[in-house]
Amino acid sequence: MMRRLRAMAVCVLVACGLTACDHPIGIVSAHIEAADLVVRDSAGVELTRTSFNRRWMVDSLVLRDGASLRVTITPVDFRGAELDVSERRDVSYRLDAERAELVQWEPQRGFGWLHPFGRGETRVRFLIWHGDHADFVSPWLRVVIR
Amino acid sequence: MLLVRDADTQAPVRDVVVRAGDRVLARTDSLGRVTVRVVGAGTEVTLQRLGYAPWRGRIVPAPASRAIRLTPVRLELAAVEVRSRALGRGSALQATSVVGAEQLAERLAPSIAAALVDEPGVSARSNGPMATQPVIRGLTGDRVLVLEDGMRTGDIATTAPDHAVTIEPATAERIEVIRGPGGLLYGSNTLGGVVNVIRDDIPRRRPSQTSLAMSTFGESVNRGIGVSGRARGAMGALTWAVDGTGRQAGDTRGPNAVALPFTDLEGMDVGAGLSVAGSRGHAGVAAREYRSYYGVPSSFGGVTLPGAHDGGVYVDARRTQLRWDAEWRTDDARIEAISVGGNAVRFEQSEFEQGGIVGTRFGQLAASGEAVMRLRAGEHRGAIGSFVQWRDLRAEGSFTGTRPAVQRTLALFAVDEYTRGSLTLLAGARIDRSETRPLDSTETLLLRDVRTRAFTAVTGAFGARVQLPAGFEFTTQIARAFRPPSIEELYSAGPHLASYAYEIGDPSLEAERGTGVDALLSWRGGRGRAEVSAYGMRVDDYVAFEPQVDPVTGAPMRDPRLRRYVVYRPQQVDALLWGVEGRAMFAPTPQWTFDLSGALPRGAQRGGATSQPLPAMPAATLRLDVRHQRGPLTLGVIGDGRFAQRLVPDAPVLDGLACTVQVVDGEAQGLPAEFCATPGAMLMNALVAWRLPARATRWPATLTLTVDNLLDAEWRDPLWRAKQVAPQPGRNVRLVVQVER
Repeated sequence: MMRRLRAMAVCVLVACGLTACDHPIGIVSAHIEAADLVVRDSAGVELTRTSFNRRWMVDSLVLRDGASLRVTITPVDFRGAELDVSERRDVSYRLDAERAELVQWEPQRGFGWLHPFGRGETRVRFLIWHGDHADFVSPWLRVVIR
Repeated sequence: MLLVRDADTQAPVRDVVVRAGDRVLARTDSLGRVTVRVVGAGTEVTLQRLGYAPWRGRIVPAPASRAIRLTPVRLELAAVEVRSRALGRGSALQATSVVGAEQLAERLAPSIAAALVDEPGVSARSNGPMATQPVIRGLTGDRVLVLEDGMRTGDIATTAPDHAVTIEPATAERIEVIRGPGGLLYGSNTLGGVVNVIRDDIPRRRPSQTSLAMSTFGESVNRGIGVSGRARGAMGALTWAVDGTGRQAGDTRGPNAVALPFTDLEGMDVGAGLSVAGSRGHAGVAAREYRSYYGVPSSFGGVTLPGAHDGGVYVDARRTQLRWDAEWRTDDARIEAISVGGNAVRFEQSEFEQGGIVGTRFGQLAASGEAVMRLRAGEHRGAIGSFVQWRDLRAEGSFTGTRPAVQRTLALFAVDEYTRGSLTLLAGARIDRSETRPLDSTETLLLRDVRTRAFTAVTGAFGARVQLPAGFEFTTQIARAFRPPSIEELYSAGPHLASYAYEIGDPSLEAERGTGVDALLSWRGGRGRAEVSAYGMRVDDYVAFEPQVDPVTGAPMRDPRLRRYVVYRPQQVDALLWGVEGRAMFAPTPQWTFDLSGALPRGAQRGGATSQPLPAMPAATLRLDVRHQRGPLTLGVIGDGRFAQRLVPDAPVLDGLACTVQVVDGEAQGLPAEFCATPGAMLMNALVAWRLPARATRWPATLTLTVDNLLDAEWRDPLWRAKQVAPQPGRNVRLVVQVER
């Protein structure tokens, strides 16, 4: 009994030691220093952009039910220069919708599709996803589907 | 065999130290039993335990056991002893204080800083009940070394005001506080002082029987509850120790029961250790897991602090530690002992913004080790030793200002203590080499020349203690301390949400170097003790983050990303800190005790046209604790006077901003807290403690009912970062139940 308890105690301590050797943040790759985000359609027409990431210049996006919209999202640094992250395999764009049953995001390399599923209204926000965390989270943007 | 019992309750008293002169002979077990080997006509011994009057007498060989009754007192009349690996246990040549296990269990404070605020010269910088850090003589953060059993914690508490010290105080055996520079014995970065939490989770001695102590509490100010326990015993050749604490609390309420949002917390801490302990030393390992989840407040009464998130920030911190320690006491005439120890820590912390988004995530691996050889020769006692430390700090997230970096430190030191008659002299020197290497050298508009920095410094101390007639003792020390700039001070480049600031580092910073002088006059008599200390310290290249001014507009410089936070950058100035601290404890009769303590800390920049006070200096304090003990019942009234703090630096940028936070165009605007004066306050606390007699319960138990801020007064703490909008807690009724066996 004593030997078993001792062996168990040693095993627990070794397991804790091994856990302590694993860095919580394994990879260090450059942060996306985005100050704002620009949303454009497939023709390159600017639909809206954030202002100091506190509000949207055009505060709503209108979609037609059943008609997916191809959009391009471009981060902008604090000098106003557009950042090209298309070659970064550890970076992607994500969409967070309050009513996910109404609108969904299909990411592609360099652009993405906004798919509406029925009429209504919701709020969405865009995230620049870096590894396992968001480097950038936009303000909420109103989306109306007619 | 001796049976040691409490004179009032007849309960056995454990952990009583039996000494013959300076030599520790034995300690009592959980049943108050101890066996002491005596020969011939017997031995003069002293029995000591915190909370009891020392018992002195002669013990002679006897076939039967002898009962000794210790009289409980609130006064600790023996000299305050602290532990360091270099000199073992003894009196430091500095102002020191010790908070024992009973006081810690009585308070069950959620943080180390909160557990120490009643000690003279110690205050707490807080950003919520959990995110508090100890402040010693006005210095905090990286300038105060917080240790657990003499080892670095490996957390990131010193890097920002919203980070918690990840040490659970409830299960500590005691907390030792050394005020003033103590780099020689404890390591660099000790300009302000040292807080050493003694837990002994690697048992240093073998208990004769299993002991168990448990506490549970509930308090009204935040509807908090908690439970903690510790046990130790022996199993075959091994000695073991386990402890654990769990606590939970809701939002803290200010006066008139108005809740302060985002001040709720949860905490959990468990640890276990194994050792082989004997008369020649010990060797063992211990593991500990600490976890806390707490809010960082940002608004009160509908007013949000400038730059703060109106949705608050929640911090989830986790620390896993493996520690090892060994000491071998030799028979050699020159080598007293060889002691080695080290730890490896994995730390991670996520800061959640409104909606559960991780704003910043920190991760750190850290390891440190120390090896010391304690030497003796005649009346000399000393040590030579080395210290190594490595930490790899990384950060990620949508709003992170911390750059990943690796820091390495190597130190060598030698110390000698010479005692002759009533005089003790101490001298020592230490050489430190510290290197900080950024893992991301990307330059930004505001952060340039990101490069590896290395610092080398020779520091030391010289002190003397002389015992004077009539119980007086005079101690003085001159010490040189050193602190290399932190990773954040060198390489920060981004917002820190909980600091409400956008911090830009300066990779060209120089190390801080402090030279301090301490003088301590103490007196110990049959019915009390008193001490008063005065100190002064000059710090060259003192680093302080200061708000930046836009050179074109003259307005506060806003961050380039969001135009929301004021940009702060570290500036180096020469600073002078000075002050006095004192404490007098007096027991005119065995029933009454009076404990008066106070501190007056001051700090100012040196040079320049005008002498500006240093930012975020604590206010002067004066505290009187009166207790009346009648049998198992203790009644106490505590008056806690906090003076106004009007010595604040001039704000570099006014631009229409004032200390009163105003909302303009939906934006909260106001000066940062460090530029705003704080009014004083007088707080009254009360206490009733009842030690249940041993015959009434199977296990000796104590019930303690305390009422803090009895009059529900509204008051502000100068170091509370949200002081402009939120008051300190209102009336708090706390019930603590302690049992031990």
